[in-house]
Amino acid sequence: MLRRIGRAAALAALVLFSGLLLGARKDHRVSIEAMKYAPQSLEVDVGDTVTWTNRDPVPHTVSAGKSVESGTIEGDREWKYVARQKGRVDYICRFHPGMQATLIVK
Amino acid sequence: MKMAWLIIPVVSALAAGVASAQGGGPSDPQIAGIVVTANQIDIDAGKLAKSRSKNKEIQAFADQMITDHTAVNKQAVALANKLKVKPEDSDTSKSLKEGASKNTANLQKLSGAAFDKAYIDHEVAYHQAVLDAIDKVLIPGAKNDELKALIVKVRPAIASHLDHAKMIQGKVGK
Repeated sequence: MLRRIGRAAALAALVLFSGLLLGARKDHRVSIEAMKYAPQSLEVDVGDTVTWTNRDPVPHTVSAGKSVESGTIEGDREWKYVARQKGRVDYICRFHPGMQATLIVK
Repeated sequence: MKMAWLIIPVVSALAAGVASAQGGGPSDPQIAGIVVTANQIDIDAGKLAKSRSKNKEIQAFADQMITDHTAVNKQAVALANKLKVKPEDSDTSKSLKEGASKNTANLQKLSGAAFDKAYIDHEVAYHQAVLDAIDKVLIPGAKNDELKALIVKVRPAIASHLDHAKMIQGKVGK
């Protein structure tokens, strides 16, 4: 009986913990507007999702080598990325030199 | 020195726009016509540079001009259709076309480093003139809010093109 209660409690704890973990995953947004990324620097946790929205009339990219490459993001379109690896990602727009920003995955 | 007479038509065309703005200004259909013409001119110049230049930076810049100005024109035409505004010719758009024809004729005579220099010099002058026209004619003159908003939205891209062209001009001119 005690074993059963123990198992049930462990299962409940696991479900609760998973729920908390899932709940802890956040969505972040980066705007691409007036030829700039805003915010310029963004800190996220592993598992978080970042969405870049291009509000400019010209296409842009979010590019940092092979690990992060959005391809062309047309005007009024967005691109989502799930941060899976810890570290600092300095990214640029391949089309527009001078456009750069940083994503820090904790 | 040769560049001076090529750039003068563009500056004159846009100055004519300023004068026109002071005398009541261009209408929204004329502003739409100026926007479409100005973009098309730079797309055509970019295509010429792509076919003539062997310089990687010039090629990349020309690619960017074709991509960006095509995207802007697509939005300008879509907005004009939505607003049922038919882009109209004006003295400014006509002068822009004349200036572009002279520039193209000059560039077609050149090759190698001389072509690269003439192309990028013109791009610097052209984007500066377009930026001035945006600030002095197109934004203050546009009556429709959506048309004005589109021009405001395009301005940072033109400013970025100007900075990029100046950066290349510094290297090509040496």
